[in-house]
Amino acid sequence: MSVPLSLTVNGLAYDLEVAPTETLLYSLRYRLGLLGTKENCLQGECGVCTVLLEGLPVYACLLLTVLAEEHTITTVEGLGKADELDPVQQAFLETGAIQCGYCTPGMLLTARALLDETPRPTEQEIRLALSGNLCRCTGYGRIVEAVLSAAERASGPRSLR
Amino acid sequence: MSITEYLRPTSVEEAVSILAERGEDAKIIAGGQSMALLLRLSLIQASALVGIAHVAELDRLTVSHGELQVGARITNRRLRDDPQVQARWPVLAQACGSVSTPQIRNHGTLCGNAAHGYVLADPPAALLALGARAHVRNADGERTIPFDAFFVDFMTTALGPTDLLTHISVPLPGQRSAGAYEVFRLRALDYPTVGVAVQLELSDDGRCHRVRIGLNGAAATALRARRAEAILARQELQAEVVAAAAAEAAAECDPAEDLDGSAAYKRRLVGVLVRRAITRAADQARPALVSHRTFAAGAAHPYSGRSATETTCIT
Repeated sequence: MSVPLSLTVNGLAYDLEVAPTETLLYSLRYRLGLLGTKENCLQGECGVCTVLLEGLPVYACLLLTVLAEEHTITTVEGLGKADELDPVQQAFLETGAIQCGYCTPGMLLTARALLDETPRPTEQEIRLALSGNLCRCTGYGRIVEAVLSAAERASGPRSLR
Repeated sequence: MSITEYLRPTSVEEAVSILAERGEDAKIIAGGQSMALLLRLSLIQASALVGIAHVAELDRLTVSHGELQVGARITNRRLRDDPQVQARWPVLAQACGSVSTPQIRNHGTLCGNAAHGYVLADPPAALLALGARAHVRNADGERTIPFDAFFVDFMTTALGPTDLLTHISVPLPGQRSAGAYEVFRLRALDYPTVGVAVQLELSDDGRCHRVRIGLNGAAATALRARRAEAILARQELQAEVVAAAAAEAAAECDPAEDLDGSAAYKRRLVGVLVRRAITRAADQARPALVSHRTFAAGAAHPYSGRSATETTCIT
């Protein structure tokens, strides 16, 4: 019944045994203890569970863990450390783009993926890229500002761990 | 019954033989953007998932024999972003690019979307408008199903329990062809209320030579607006003719009343979106006749489905 596999999360390899229908969200939070990826709607309609798969945003709640095998996975824990924040994290802090914080991990990862692909996005492109991440607190204004600010200050391409 | 096995075939033959052996007891999973939700809601009665992530030949997006070949593992994102698809099959690029959110498009597949057969999905209207065909393999061999015959009823397609949809082929439109996808949705991550795909071809004298109109959200499943198409046949696509076709499309469809709107409201949406899609496609197919109404090249607005220069009122 359980499927043995290896997941590469934030640069580290983990050997797991998972249920065939287990989602990556479940595996990350409850097997690997990586609680930065949040749980909410569980049906791909809010974005708090966003992680990066091969650098592209996906919903962990709709991604069966068995399908994530052999792909690099990045969670918010892999984005930056307290003493070395990713520019997007820094921009969110400085702009005040965080209220309750629940949408924030997903927003950060989607924004990071956007800037990796489009280093100087327009506001419209940012809003389109974040269209799969809902925020109930901020009204999105400062989130968009933060991404613009991070884009402006970026000093060159970053590779994700 | 719940899923107890995940099988990883490495070839189409292997996948097909698993399905032949297990029948209803095994379900194909590609990106799983529809399947994962069905599983969580306990709507899947099977004991095995058959993943196609290791079947290399299904990961092809090519143009061969003059047709676009979309393998079962090709994501909606790839179809939206591919320069050849954008240039030659723009209605497909627009419809695939309209699916839900970036996260869903990054992992969900066109073939999976078609096989799921949900009436509100974006791509089916484009598949109908383009005259695309589904290529299916099972233990008895291969067969081809035109999409006109693929969407049978609500969440029911022509695929059987032992079938594997290996790829979709899309013919290359003719010389004076153009296509457009118009859609209305409440928020970016909602399913459309209604989506309309038009692919038309003009003859040398500028009259409508061929047209196909696909509708999403306007009946139990995706359908062609055939009476509307008949009105356009061999006509010059002036405003009155386009309006008549739009009105006929609104009359011939059968939208359900639900939280997204009444049947009357949805019929009105169909009429407006059919008019816009035909107009946009006709404008693009007539390179010599420059339209002074500039529509955004390609994409419908993601939040509302309306083209960038339209007003905010539905007219």
